[in-house]
Amino acid sequence: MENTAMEHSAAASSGANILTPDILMVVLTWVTFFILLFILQKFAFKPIMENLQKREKDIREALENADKAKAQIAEIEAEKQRILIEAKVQASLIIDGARKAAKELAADVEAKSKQQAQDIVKAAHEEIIGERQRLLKSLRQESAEVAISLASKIIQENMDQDKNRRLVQDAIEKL
Amino acid sequence: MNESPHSFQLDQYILRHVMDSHEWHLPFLPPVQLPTFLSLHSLMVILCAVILLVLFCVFYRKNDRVPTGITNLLEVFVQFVRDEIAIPSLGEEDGQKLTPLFCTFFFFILGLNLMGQIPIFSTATANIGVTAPLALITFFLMTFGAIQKNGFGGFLKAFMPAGVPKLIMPFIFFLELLGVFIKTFALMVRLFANMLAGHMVVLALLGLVVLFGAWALPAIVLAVGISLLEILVVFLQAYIFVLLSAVFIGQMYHPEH
Repeated sequence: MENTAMEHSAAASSGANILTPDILMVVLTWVTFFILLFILQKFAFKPIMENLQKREKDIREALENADKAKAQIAEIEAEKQRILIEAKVQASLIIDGARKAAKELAADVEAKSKQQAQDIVKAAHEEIIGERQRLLKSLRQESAEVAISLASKIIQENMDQDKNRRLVQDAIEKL
Repeated sequence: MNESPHSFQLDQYILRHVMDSHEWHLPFLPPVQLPTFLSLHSLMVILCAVILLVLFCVFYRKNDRVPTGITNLLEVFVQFVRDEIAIPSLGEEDGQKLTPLFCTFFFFILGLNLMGQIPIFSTATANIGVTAPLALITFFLMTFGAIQKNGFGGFLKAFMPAGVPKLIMPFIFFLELLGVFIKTFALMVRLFANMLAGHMVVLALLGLVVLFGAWALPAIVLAVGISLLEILVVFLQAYIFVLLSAVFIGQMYHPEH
């Protein structure tokens, strides 16, 4: 029984010790804590906080830059579309112009060739007429000469060649 | 009854494990006798500081552009303490200024708590001689820090909330003044008691096996469950200590809020 009571009191005193801070422990904790605080503040927490702030800044800037780049891309895209549309319009204008010019050229060529053809035909016609006239004239002359020779043969009359010719000329002019 | 001497032995067994001593019990080795000036909990405090210094000065890579591994883990905690505890409680300027202190609080307490979960170490935060000086640092900031910041008049104003009738002001003043001490005391006891109680419960459950033999084997499952809960408590208590310190200091630094 006595033994039990002693153990009880030992337990009670240990329990009391648990609630009584040891001054050496308190001082040691303070010293350790402040040394830790001093070193970590200087070599760890300040650099970490600076790093965090720098990274936050970097991320913010990177996001802003990304937004800017997106806006620029959109702008460039719009510009590209505008240029494309303009190019299309210009191309269609050029094609239309070329088509019109080609048509005009074709019409012009056609008109000119028609004119040339007409001219050629006209010249040919005129030449034909002239040739015909010339042929007719020479035919008449030939005919007259044939007629004279035939007539001279028929009438047996020896006539002067010059006189005959004059007679024939007169006859042609009278025609 | 045969059980009664056993139960006394269990008391002693539990107290021996949670109390500070000058013996360090290592597995498969004879107990290491510590010198009189260095108790087991003192050794744990110094070991924790050394581990933290190694962790932050050796394993933390300052120049990593993209932090990974331990660097990332440590930064997460520092950022959490800064953004979720210090700045919301103290405002941008004071929050930034006191973040290193709160981080040291957090990592120091967390380190000591976690070491307590490893069988070869001992729980220094279950010693009131460790939690008291930590709570007193908060107390000094709540009093001398606030006097330095707001002047003595400003400091006294923190005990006189606006809108209180003049008649009951002395009573309120006294209560608020008492509150500073109570808050500090609560801060000290909360950490100490939580860490002590968790270990006591685990040891008591394991002690049941010693007392009742194979019949009490299921208690081991409970002890494992409590140990898992302890891991949560370890983080929670470190967080609560830092959060409440920040809130209490914030209340004294900015009494108008």
